[in-house]
Amino acid sequence: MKDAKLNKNRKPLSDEEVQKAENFDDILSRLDKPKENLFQKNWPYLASVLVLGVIGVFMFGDSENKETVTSEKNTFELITPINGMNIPTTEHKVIAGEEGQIVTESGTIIKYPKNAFLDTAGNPVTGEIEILFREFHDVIEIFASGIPMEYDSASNKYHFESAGMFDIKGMQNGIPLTINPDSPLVVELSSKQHGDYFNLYKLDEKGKWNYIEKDTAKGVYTQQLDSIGLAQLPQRIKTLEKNAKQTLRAQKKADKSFNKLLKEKKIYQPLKANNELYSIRLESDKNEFPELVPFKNILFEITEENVGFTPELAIKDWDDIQLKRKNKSEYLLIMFDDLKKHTFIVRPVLSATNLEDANKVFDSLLSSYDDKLGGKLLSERTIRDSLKKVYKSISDSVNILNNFASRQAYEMSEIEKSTARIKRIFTIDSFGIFNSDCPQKLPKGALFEPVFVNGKDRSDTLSFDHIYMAELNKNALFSLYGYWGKSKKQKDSEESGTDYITQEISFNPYNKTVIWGITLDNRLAVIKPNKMSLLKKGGNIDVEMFVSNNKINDLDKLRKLLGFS
Amino acid sequence: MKQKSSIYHQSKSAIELEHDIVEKAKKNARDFAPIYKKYHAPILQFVYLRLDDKDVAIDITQQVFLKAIENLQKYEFRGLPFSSWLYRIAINELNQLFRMNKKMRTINLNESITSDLINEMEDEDLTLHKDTLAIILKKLSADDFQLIEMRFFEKRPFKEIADLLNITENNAKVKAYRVIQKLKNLFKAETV
Repeated sequence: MKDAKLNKNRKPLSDEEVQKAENFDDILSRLDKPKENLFQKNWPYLASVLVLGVIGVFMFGDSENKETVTSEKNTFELITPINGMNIPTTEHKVIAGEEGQIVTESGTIIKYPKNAFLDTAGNPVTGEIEILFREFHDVIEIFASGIPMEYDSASNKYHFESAGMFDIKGMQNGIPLTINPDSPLVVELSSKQHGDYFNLYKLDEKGKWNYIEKDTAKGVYTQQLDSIGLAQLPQRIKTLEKNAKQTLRAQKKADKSFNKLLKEKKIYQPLKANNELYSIRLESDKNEFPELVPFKNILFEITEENVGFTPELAIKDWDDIQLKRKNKSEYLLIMFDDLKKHTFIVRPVLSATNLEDANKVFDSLLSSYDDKLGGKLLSERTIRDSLKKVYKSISDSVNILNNFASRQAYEMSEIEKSTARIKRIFTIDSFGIFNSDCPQKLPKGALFEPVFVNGKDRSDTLSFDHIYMAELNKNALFSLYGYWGKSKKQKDSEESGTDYITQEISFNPYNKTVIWGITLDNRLAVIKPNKMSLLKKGGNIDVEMFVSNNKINDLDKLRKLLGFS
Repeated sequence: MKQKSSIYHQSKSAIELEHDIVEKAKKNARDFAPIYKKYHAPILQFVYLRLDDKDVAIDITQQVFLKAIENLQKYEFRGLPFSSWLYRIAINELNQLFRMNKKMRTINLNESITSDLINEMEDEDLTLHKDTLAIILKKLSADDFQLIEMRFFEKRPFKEIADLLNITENNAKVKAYRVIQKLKNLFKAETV
């Protein structure tokens, strides 16, 4: 910020100035104008297309691993990173014109209504057609497919965390079909990724993802809850808790009002002695404390706030003991010996054996006073007691429901972990590649600037123009474009040495991260999570990679090699 | 610190109503007018706070809305006010501008912000050196200052800051705390 200008006490724009600047028509008119500087504004996209083109020619040079995304505009081609490895397509034969559904091996359901398929001229198709379908569920399948996982949201760059993706096409006798927009297909994609934070996207003919709508996934888990009304349980508990709080407030208010009346009339309400506190038996002055007169065997309990009271004081012989009123419910116990005076706060209580009799006395006292008060005392007590009962009953219900909900949540999470699959619902009116994803930023936390070398031969510098990164706990593939390795304009003289080009890579050191790439000479190289910890310190460093010299043509082998199984 | 009454806090129904307008505007840009009307002033003030050129601020604000409409198909509703997205575009536009011309960046300080920041640093000695704050703020990185600007200059709640900077609320709090500590240290170093 050293170049920033500093203003002190500058006023914000006035309402008039803001209003004057408002011009929506200007925006509308600018919407229709062609871009003034296409390259400058669209350079990231153009650059990525260029990079992809270069990779295609440089690395592979053949057309085996290229795949056209749409039949309308062949402007974007999928390039699989490993030559000869791709996610296979399954062909499903169905009868066009009729309603039906396809269920794939993973449990995905493709539902098609009547007259769902059109030919290129827009006419309904009848007879047997082929639906070509393939799905991608984990990082390895996504990587092997070559499907881009970057997303641009108004110049904000993201990488997709995927809950599942599919590619669907329709053909009849080798001729591509389209979907009737009035009779869209519904694809219920089977997904193992839980969570409701995903959105649905479609890959366009330029290789860019377009947002369709919020994912409205429904899973086994949710459906089971819904069927027995448990999904509403948290809300029910919340409502009950709210009621309980309100009742408790009302009860406390009623209690206060009742106690106020008792204090005004100087009626002592018997309290049960606390077994953990000391009590002293005293004969009190009947004239000074008439409220205690009706009760037999009254004890004076040393209250909690008397920090200086010790058991020895209770058995000591005192020269004199006095009792004074402190307030309407508490008294002061003052004990004298030769040397000093000890004062403690006490309250009158009754032992459990005497409490029942005391309560009877209290009830009869209440009744006698109540007549004088026109029934107010007993009515206040009835309100208080009934509120107490209501509060207890609501609290009990809340406890029962909370226990039930915790148990259900535990059981459901166990089911979720083991078997549950969620259905992610797509309504599609065109063929293509669709996914359910959540945009993510690149992991952060540690930075390193690597020169990648072969772990078995450090003189073998590895060169990449595309690095992949994934975290084992997340179904997201992070693609890093750039160049790492020996300079393309390498200086061979001993004096100048070899030039290396590198750039920073950031990763989250707290997650298990794996980084891999296909070298420019077509070898798979990987840094597994256990080696990533060595890179935490960061800086410009040589980073050893495990390089596989074998041909990889199997997804399971790839998973194992990259540490995903 | 007092929280500014922010248009970020809106009822669920208001946010959903806004979403309906956005959905309509995806089909016809003219339907975007109510959103423009609602957010033009806050976005313009947001931009102007970071600049010292009124005309550039007005141009950038128009650019923000133009970009929003052009990219409306990509807008994802996440239950947040539409303004979150507009502010993010505005931040990107401003960053592009500042990359080209760092001198365009402006710190607009006033007495109230100075007091709030000094209070936050919880050091009474610092009140004697209020003027030093301006020097110290210029020593912060652009990212650190942005956080302080949103929190103390604009009084935005952490939840909103987190949404605008695409970080978690907790992370926003931790970062803000760290920047305050950094400011405190810089202050002490400067006033010794």
